[in-house]
Amino acid sequence: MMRIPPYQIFSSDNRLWEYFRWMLAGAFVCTFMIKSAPLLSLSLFQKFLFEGIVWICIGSCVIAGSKVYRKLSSSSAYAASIFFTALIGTLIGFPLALLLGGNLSFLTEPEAITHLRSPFTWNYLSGVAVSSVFLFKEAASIIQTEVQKEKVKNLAQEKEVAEINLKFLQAQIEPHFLFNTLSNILSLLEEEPVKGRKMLLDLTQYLRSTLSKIRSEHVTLEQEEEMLLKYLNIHQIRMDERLDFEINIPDSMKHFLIPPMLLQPLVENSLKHGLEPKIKGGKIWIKGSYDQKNIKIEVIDNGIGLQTETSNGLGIENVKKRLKACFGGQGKIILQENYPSGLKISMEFPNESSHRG
Amino acid sequence: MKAVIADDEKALRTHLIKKLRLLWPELVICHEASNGIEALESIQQYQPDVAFLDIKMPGKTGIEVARQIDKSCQIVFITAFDHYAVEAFENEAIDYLLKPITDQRLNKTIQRLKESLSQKKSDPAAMQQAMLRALNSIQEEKVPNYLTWIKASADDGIQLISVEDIEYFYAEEKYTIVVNQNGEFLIRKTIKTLAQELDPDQFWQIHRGTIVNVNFIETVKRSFTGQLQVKLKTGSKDLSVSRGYAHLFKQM
Repeated sequence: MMRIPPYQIFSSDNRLWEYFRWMLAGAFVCTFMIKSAPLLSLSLFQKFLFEGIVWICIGSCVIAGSKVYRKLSSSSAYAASIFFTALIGTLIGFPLALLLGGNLSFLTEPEAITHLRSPFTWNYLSGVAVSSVFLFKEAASIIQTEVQKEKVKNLAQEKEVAEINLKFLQAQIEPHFLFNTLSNILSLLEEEPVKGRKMLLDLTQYLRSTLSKIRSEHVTLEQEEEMLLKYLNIHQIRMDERLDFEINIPDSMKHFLIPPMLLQPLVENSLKHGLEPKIKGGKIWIKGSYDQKNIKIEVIDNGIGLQTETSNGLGIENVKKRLKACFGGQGKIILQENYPSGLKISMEFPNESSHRG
Repeated sequence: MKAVIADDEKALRTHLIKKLRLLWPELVICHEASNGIEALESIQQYQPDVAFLDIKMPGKTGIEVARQIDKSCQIVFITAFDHYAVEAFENEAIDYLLKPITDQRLNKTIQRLKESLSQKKSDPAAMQQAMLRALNSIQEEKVPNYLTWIKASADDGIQLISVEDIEYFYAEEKYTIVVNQNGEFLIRKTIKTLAQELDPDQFWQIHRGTIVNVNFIETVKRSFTGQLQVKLKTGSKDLSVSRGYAHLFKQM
């Protein structure tokens, strides 16, 4: 169970005001309870003033105390602090109220203590009661809000995961890519039917693997490589001699299981921001390596690289989020300038396959 | 009638030329360009009546090319999927073709072009004015004015760090240290320069030598001496807020 220290309750102005109103209500009720002889002569308004001063003193002491005892976290220590601070509050409040009422003189009378004992105890105990009820009620409501917040946070997280998945799917069948490929196929079917048919087959296989993969949690690196090959084949026909590529993933890695759709966005990023804008085009290298702990994939291009430090996001933010969702803090992406030109993206994440054998 | 055709994808270019030869035999195709720069050069050189420009091309986009043409020339944009642009083209000054191009749509474009080219009564200057107005209404992707990337020197070359991932910057003599999940990196920029180049909504200068990413702040505490301390979500050391910047955390 969560504990809310009292000082946190009073940290919001709203609650402070609420507490103040509770205390005034207490003072009001107590006004009618005064039966002590020396105070009976007072008018109702004077009695209310008297009680108001006492109660404000109790309240202020409880609040001040809560700031001092801010480290208290157990309920019993918490309750004890209320008893203690309320006592001090009453001890200060009584003489103060009598002083302001001009009635201090009667304290010197021998029976003063006897007369005041009953209102004093009455005020003190009801002050403790009101304060405790208020504080514990508020603590409970804060816990409720915290629980609510936690629930909302969980829901938001779930929503984010779903959104990321959707974004990935959208990115992979991005309309610009799709329509461009289709019009290429259409043109090729008339000019070079063999090439056109191959492109259509590549697109079909690419779409099929993309759409089926989104539902699975893991794919083998071999499947990912094949999908990338189709994707790059399509781009190679579009960009013609401007695009060259090389995929180098060791055979020993091919059965490794990885989350789907981590590699394609990196390749797309290199094509879209590195090679397509470059007049002469260039080459893209995809390399895989691993050790006991980690799998490392590098996507390197010799395109135009990052032109300015204010350019728009390179579309790898989604991959970062996805890595975080899959591996927590254990996955990372590092971007580096490639020499003599272009970009090198290195992605590393835990090698989960090696544990499964 | 002269025309220049520009598209970086060869298959699409050849296909369009073939279609044009079939549907508009009088049209002379002076040049086929494979990138934006080549397109602009050939338009300046041949001064065609019509230019077919692919929007997404290396070197210069079709829109950039159209903006830089100084002689009047009818423009037809070719695009696969640029919804933002297509709306702006619902305009007499500029026509557009969506890929894949159908014969029907191409015929319509040819008819429109023939009409506007034959009615030369409207003076070319006015035509160009209308075209420029249409071009200006096209919203191109906005380039942010603030830094989105930091180039920092690492052991093996230059690393590019997205500002989203940076926890904080701190001054180290003349230079600045960038701190992120992967460690600390040196950059040759002063805190003062960075403070001006970073998005002030995301990055707060909290001290003469410290700039912090607001997204990484967990809590702000006050110490016994009344000094504010920023605690980061990543749990790395707390950062102190100097009095001059304390106002940032008031009313939070």
